[in-house]
Amino acid sequence: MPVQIDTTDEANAPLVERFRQIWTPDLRVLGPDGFEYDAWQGYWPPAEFTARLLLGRARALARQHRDLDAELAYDEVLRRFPRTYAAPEAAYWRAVCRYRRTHRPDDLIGRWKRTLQTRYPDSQWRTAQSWSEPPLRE
Amino acid sequence: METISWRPADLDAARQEAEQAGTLVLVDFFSPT
Repeated sequence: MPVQIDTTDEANAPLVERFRQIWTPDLRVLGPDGFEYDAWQGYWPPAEFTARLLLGRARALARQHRDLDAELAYDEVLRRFPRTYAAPEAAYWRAVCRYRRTHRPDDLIGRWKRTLQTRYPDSQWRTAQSWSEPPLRE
Repeated sequence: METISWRPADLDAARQEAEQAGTLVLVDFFSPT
């Protein structure tokens, strides 16, 4: 359910305060109970925005422990938007969601290696899994 | 290209609809230019 809130409208001041909102654009993904699953700020061009939106949905599913649904949602980000900023994060978490279901090490380490270490070697999400890589030789 | 049909700023109504539909709420805080 998409809702737009005009932050310059005084009637929306309570919402701005409630969400500690300070800058626009500012997107939030909420559960029906109001829990905030995801947030991002700033202008994202259309393809980046769509990928970021799908990533937000995937993050919500994962944090609801819906691991299979989340894995498929992260996979959609990677398949449809492999060159976006959202893609490396999707690759990281897709592997996590698979591993949480199977507990097979290759579903985590192997998938990180086949995606983050090869396709997104300079991303922060490659760094986030770098403990799984062999140490560099002097 | 996908499009989003934004609703007016009734967050409580959106949350109720999301509850019934089993989905999430996307909130866009914006300032008109």
